[in-house]
Amino acid sequence: MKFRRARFQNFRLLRDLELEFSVEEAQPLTIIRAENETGKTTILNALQWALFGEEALPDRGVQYRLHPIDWEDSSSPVDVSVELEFEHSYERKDRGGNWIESTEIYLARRSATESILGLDSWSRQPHTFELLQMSESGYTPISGGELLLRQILESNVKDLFFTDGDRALSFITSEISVGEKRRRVQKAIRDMLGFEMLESGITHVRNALRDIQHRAREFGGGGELERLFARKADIEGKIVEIEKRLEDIDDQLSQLAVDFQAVEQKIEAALAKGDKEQLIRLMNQKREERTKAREQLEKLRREHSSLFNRESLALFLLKDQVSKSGATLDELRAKGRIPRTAIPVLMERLELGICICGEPLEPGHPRHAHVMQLIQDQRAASATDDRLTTLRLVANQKLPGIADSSSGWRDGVRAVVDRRDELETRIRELETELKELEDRLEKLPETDIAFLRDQRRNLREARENLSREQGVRQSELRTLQQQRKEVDIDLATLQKRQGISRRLQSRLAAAEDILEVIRKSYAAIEQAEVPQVSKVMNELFLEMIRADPEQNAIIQAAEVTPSYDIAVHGPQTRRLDPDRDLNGASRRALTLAFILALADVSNVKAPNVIDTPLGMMDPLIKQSVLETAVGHCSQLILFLTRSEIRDCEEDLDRFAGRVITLTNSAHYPMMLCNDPGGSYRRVLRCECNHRQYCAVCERITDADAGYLKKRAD
Amino acid sequence: MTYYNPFQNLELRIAEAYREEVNRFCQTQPDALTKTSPDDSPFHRYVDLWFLAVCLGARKGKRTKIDKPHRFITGEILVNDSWRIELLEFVAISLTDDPWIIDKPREIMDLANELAATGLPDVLSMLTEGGGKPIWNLTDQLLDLFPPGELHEDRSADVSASQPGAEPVS
Amino acid sequence: MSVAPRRLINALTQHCAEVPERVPGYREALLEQLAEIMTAEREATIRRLNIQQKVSDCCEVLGEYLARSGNPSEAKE
Repeated sequence: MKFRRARFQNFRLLRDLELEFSVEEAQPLTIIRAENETGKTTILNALQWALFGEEALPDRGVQYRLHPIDWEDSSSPVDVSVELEFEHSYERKDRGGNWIESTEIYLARRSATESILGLDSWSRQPHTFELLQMSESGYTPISGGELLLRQILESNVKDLFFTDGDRALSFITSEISVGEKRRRVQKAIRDMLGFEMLESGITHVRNALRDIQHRAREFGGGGELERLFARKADIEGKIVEIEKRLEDIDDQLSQLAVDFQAVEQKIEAALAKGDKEQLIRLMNQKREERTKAREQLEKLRREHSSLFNRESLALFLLKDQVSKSGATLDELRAKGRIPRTAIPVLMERLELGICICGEPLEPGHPRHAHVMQLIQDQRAASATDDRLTTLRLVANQKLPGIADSSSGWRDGVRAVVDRRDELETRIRELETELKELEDRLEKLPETDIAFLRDQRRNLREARENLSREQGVRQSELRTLQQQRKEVDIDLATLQKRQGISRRLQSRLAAAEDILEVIRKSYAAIEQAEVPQVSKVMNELFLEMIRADPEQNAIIQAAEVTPSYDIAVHGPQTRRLDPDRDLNGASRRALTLAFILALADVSNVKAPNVIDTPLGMMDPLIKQSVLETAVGHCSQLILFLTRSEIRDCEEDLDRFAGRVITLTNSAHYPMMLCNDPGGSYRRVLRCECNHRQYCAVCERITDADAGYLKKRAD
Repeated sequence: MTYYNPFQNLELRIAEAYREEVNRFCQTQPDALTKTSPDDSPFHRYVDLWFLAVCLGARKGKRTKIDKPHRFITGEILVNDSWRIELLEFVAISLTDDPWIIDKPREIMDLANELAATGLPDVLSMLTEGGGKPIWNLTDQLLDLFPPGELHEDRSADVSASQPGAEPVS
Repeated sequence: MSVAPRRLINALTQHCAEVPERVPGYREALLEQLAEIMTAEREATIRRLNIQQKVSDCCEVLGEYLARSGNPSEAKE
């Protein structure tokens, strides 16, 4: 299908607008240059309304106003219409059995009338729809046009072929669950490849089979036969239940895997920044060490200060004085002045009663009194002499050791000083380390690692439980499948024995064969087509983002997995999260590649109408995306802003068969240079291409933009 | 057992003018409620600072009269370190050339107080000069008094009491 | 337009060939009814149709064919 032209009347901002689209094979691209708020989304909605009716509108059209919001005459109803001329090609077999292609041109016209009831209320008459076919004599209406149109269109392609960049991201966004994303991808693939039909076929054939079995039971009459049929129905019912449960488990396991990974990453991130408990433990250790060091330092300080009280210091300082005194005392000693030793001798003599000279020393004798007096005199001087003697001995003892004790004092000082330096350095180091730890602790996010670990444990348990259940269910399924086989054998035997009508048997066999073939075909198509979609998507995606896996690009491959995930792989096949690990441009390219791949594989030829697909892309990527999209679309219609067009002008020159510029009259004077006139807002069209501007579309920034030229009117 | 202490009841004195400074450098300050750090107040007690001042004054061999003396403690304190009693007697004997001065403890104490008055400014200078904490300044200055290499004591050398024996205080 | 018809027909044909030829012409008849069923399914997406009846009828037609042509339990490979 290709759009040829469209005409809009009174469809919101599209008061009276006509657009033509390129249908050329060589230049399949149509560019509609339109800035924001210029009716791009309105045009998309209008085209979809024309083709699919209200169901294609936002909110299925219930709250969606079709008429212009500033319609002047509220007393008269507003006629709204959209016409779409399109060509449709289809294949048919000729007489020789060969497939040939034919093309027809149609005009679809959908109209509705809305009455304005109040400020915010309006009513709409049911729309009318006409489908006309072009012939040599002009357009001829076709009866049952709506039906034919639906035949021509795949009812679900509207979601895939009318794309705005943001909605398409729903295939990869993390804002919905893994299960829901898979369902969307699966639906897109199935819709495009016609799987729904096969699934529906399987359901209907099963129902038919059950019906036949039921009739066979009734006919057979034998309790055993009935019991076997009932048993088989029961087994099949359980099989369907278990298969459904296994599918649910699969979804839940995938979601758990995603959640588990998210928690692991949080734990890893938190631990990288620092485990709070560990940090606090470390800080306490350091504080303890610092306290001990400070205590030791305090002790050392006291020891240091006690060095100034040492005898060894005093001796060193006073060594000359000690030495001189010692010499003086030695002299006294030499002279015999100290110690006085006479007293013991005199005492002895008194005891003996004989003097040294031999004379008697008896009490009462004058010599005795004299000696007694001598002893008394001696005793009086003795204390001083004793002291002097003692001092002399002290001097003699200490003087030789002064050198050693002094150097001992000096060494003692040095040892204390060295140890103090060590401790003070260590305390400073500890304080620096503590400061660093405190800073780290402060920067720690309020992540409770213990809580995350609990979460992880819970997820693991849930995963284990589900895996266990999965195993059990799979085993149950196998058992049931085996039982079904056995029942079938028993049924066949019993039927043969009981001679059930050949007709019923035949019908059973026929229905079972039909079911089997559809099942296998479905599985085969799914197995063949999904990888094919994946392969094409990968090729297109890498082409768009210019990633060369052999050149060590970060993005190595993209795929649709058998479980319908859209996955992206980095180096060493590491899985990347499209929502988190890809930039905006790559995400858009990925979803676009998926849509194009579906169209490619299913060979559906329909126009791709895309609103602002090149946002967030750098020039090289824009060019790649354009080239790739053009190469894989039979007709591509893009709504682009000036900034999206920038740096793609040459590609557009090459691929665009048509360029139209649209302008919103309401943008004057804030954004438009020239007053478009008129009392109501509308979308204006001019023939400017992507390199031009004119009096209608000139924006305030156009004249200064060196890449745009004013078009002569 | 009785210990020999002829200075028991005699006063140890410093000049009133130095009292505040001396106070600052002693840990057990009589009028303070708390002790200061040894780094700021390297001397445990007044008597320790006083005795170092005596040693430095003795090395100079110079007596200085105390204008306004402040009695900070009696000689009873000396019994804890009896070697100080011995050294005071050695100093007295060496400076007076009279061994029997040991019979005149009052004269010895007067001598000691006047030697302390001589040495005290040097001690205070050692504590404050150097840019660091007092304990470090004092340590460095005292270490500087030691000659480099091994110390050698020659007792036979004739040392006159009138010659200042102190090394220059840097 | 979806390519389903061509691809589908190919897949159905391929798997029909794996079904035992219970009676002469059975596979061809089977394929024919499968095509009818798929066409009906397609129609049902576009307009209202008693699709279940249609599918049941196809099963009946094939069953009749089988019954008329021979003993369905003696399949010929």
